[in-house]
Amino acid sequence: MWLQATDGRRGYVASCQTMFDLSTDWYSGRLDENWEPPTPEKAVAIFARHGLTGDFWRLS
Amino acid sequence: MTPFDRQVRAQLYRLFSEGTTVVDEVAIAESRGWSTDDVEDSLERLAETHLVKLAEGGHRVEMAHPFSGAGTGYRSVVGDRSWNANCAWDALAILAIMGDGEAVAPGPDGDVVWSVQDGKVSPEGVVHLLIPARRFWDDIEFT
Repeated sequence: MWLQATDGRRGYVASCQTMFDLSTDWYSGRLDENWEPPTPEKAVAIFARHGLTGDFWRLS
Repeated sequence: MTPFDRQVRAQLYRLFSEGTTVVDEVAIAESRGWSTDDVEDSLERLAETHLVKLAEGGHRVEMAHPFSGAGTGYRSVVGDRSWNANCAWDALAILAIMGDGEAVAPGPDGDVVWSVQDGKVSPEGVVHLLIPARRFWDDIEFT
């Protein structure tokens, strides 16, 4: 049913637990003044720590 | 980021986390005694580097991930506090920042609610991401 909302296009399907766990990592320190956005290399490494690899998750 | 941009970014996140729903140049400036013009300039720089998304034609912060400045139907609830989120992922992500609670996503037959307790999400569910990571910001609202 959810594919009807995207005209049948399928992207990446991740479990809610995976996305929550990624978020604890991805948004760590986000409210702090000294927070720095992750470099592309660091971002890809964060994705990979949570099993998010492959073409969908590459940044270059 | 300039030192001032860092302060503005942190302040707008502080306002969102405290439950402010309209976070714009006035709210940010007044909360810290800054010049509205200076805050506008800073917000434009933050938007250019994709650290926030501003509403079209103004300086209201529409997205400061995972927080949303608009009522999208996606939201997060912790006790008697709630926040607007941009998508299902962000509804979960707000809980990762703010603590255990419920992530709510609109569905065709009503709201879908996930509970997070001690870092565990229940019931099991999935999030569908249509746009690849390298293109998230091509059209961030669609993403």
